[in-house]
Amino acid sequence: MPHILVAEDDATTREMIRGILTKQGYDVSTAADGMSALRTLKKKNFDLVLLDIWMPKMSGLGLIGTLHGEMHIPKIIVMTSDKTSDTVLKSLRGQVYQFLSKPVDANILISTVDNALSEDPATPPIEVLSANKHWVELLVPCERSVVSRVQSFLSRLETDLPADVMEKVGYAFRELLNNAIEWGGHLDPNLKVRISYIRTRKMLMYRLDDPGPGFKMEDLKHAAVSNPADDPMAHMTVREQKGLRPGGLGLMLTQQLVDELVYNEARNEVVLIKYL
Amino acid sequence: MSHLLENFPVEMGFALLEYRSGGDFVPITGLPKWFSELWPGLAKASAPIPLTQQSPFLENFMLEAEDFWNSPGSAACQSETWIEKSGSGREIPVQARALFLGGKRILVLFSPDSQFHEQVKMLQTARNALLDHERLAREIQKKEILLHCIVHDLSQPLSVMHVAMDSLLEEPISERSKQFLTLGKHASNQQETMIRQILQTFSDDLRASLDAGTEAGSSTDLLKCARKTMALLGPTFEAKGVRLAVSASVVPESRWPVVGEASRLQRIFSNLLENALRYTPAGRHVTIGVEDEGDFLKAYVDDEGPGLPRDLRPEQIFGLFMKGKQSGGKAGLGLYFCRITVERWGGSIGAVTLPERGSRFWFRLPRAVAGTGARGSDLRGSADSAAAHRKHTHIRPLRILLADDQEDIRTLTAHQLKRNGHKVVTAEDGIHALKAFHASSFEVVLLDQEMPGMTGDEVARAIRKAEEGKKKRVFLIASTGNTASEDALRLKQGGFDEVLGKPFRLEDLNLLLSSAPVAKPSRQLLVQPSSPAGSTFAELVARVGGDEKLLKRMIHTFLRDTPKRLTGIAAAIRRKKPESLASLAHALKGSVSIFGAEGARKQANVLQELGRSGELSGAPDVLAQLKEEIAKLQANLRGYANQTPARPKSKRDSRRRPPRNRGKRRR
Repeated sequence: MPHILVAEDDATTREMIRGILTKQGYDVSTAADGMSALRTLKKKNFDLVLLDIWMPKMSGLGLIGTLHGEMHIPKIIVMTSDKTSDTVLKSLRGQVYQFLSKPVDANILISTVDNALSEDPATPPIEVLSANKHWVELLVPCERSVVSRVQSFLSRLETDLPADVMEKVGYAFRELLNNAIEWGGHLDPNLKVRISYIRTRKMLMYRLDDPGPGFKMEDLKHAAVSNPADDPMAHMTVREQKGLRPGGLGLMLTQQLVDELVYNEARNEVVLIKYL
Repeated sequence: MSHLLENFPVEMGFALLEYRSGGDFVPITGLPKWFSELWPGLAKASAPIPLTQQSPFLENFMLEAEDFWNSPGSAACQSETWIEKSGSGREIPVQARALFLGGKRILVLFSPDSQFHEQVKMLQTARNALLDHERLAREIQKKEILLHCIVHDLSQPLSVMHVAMDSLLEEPISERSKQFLTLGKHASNQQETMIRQILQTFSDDLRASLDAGTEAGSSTDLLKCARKTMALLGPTFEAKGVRLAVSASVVPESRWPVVGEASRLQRIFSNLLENALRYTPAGRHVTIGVEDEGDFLKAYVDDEGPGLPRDLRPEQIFGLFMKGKQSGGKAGLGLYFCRITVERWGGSIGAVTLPERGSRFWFRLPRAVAGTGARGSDLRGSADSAAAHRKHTHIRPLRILLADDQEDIRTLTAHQLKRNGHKVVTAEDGIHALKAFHASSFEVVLLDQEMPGMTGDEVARAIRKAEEGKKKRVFLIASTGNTASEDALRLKQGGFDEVLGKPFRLEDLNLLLSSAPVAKPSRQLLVQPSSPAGSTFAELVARVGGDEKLLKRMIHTFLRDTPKRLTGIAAAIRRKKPESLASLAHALKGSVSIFGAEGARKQANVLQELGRSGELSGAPDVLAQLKEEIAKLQANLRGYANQTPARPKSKRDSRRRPPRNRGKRRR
């Protein structure tokens, strides 16, 4: 039975998370501040820590720093309503597994925890090459859960943008990262996609570099983006023939949601730009 | 020289004749050509001419001329132009003038041929201009109808699509289906934007013409407009032998100022009169009348035709492309124009079959009050800026009355509102809405503007009237396709608290609902947005994954823990410990946000930020507000903690409801 530690100074939230996770069959311990969380972690090996950032005696980020260099470091999910980029970047560097928004919703909590715990222990971690608020660069394993994890961090760097811009860019990025992991990396966790997030005063840019050989537009018959003008649903037939799930609208939508979408010649690197 | 002068009158076309006693005339110069053409026999005769026998007009004039000659020194005597016919049938205009020349009584005859034709031409031009004006007025009418069609008939289905797609997105569907839906929403949003832009362009256009009309000082008097239209249509009625009159019961001198613009108002009368004429047989009457109804003035047109067709409901008559069976009518746009225009001005229109014979078409318009407010202020601004905060809008359960005559919109909107935990009663038209309003108690009433029987405007007025002298004031929302700012202004002056443009998105509605006050006068609360005291029990149960026991444990923890937190916060402020304040406020923020108490969350957040900045001077005030918000939340949560699972909502409702409605709601 996986062991989970909930480190949270608010009693009601603690009660709630413990209640929900206990019901799911997890073994849940709690701590009301950073120091007692640290003590608990030293006594026993946990699989997962749900960590509040702002706690008395020792903050969540302080706790992460202290754990650095320990033999066993559990997966950490940070729960916070805090949207400052500083928290996000420090969490990234501290190998936090994922971000979770407060107030926590039972369904989201359960699925996030399940995903974190069911991940193959052999999956390599996300490598952080750069983590400042203008330039974040990551090397991520080609594993599906990575998409929502990466996005849980990066979207918090964009909270100053209008909601619709965030939504559009988020959608486009998710689509491209999914493609890179699925088509470029063939869902092999040992292959890596390199993600760069670059934010300037007038522009938001993502660059994705996948480990695959690239593709040709004519190989994309299964995607709506290559449909002839007079047959907007042609790709659906192709997908059916190939036994693919319905869909293939991603690239076409992505093109419409951002200002620039540029591929390199081989088409294994793509740059997405949204002007601000 | 004298010879020259002798010929001068002839050359100029004058005939100079001396009047002799006995009624005969003697020419004193030669006679002009037209004279010879008209009276060839007389022109050749050398004896005195019996001219008056030739022309009854001239005979008539001679009576005046003799008076003139018998009283020397009086003003000149000249006739009007009259027409004589020559032997060949040519019409020749003639004018006569009586003069004294050298003591002699002289008659001058003159044919103002060229001038006359100028005049005829001018008249003809004027008539053509009038016809052009009429044609243009009809074009404008068409344009306004087109605009109206864009607003309502194009954008309303869009509204349904929005809500339908929003509903679908909330269903458990696959990611891919969501993508399709997102695509659809994207496209329909685009279309909506385009419609909005078209509307704005055209309504600016219309507003400009409207302003021009009012600035010229043309007061819009209902009866004056009626009379002007009657004068214009008089000949048409005469030609058909139908008598047109103002009802004898109308006091001629009184003033009838109404909201509206004169040329459109005349068009309305003109459409109604033409309609009446079409169905009234020769020899019968069409009567126009006006009546004072207090805040409204009513005008009617009675005909003596066959009455309204039995198979049509009165409101159908004013529909688009609706034509009578014995149609003399053209496109079926006239009455439709009357309706949309009258409703645009906040009035209503209708038709009834009269008891004896014929039918009455009536409309009422709001009485114009001197010095109406500024036009064109941007009322959408507040809603737009509020929309920026849409993301974290919190919704608390409300009792909502929803009136819309379109079944699809009604069904979908009600579905969505119910999903969000509201109690919804629907009504299919204005009359049912008003009945429902009186039968029960609501916090919010959402009224479509265009409904048969009673428009949203009228229902709103009736509701506000019923509320007079009472403390409680319902939150009134108008949903309308006319989102131009002057319409919004008009609706707000008419008693609405908010205006929702159609097609509306659910988020917009939710946003408005979140600012709806509960059982308090709305003015205050609109200035200072209300602070909802938490999510519904159902929402909370959902948030903890359906585990009621867990929720109750959490509530107990919260109720036990919070007083300590508040004491701790107070102590931290007193002892000037900002870090401690930040930490305690942060924790409290976490728990109140679990319960969806947005007001408390905001205040706790302010305290947290004050703590982090180290600036504690404003903290005691914020703490006081936080305590108020928390007290509300605690009261709610105590209610939740006590309730039995079998009747999850009843207790909470009876507690939240104003006491005087208690008996009614329990039945």
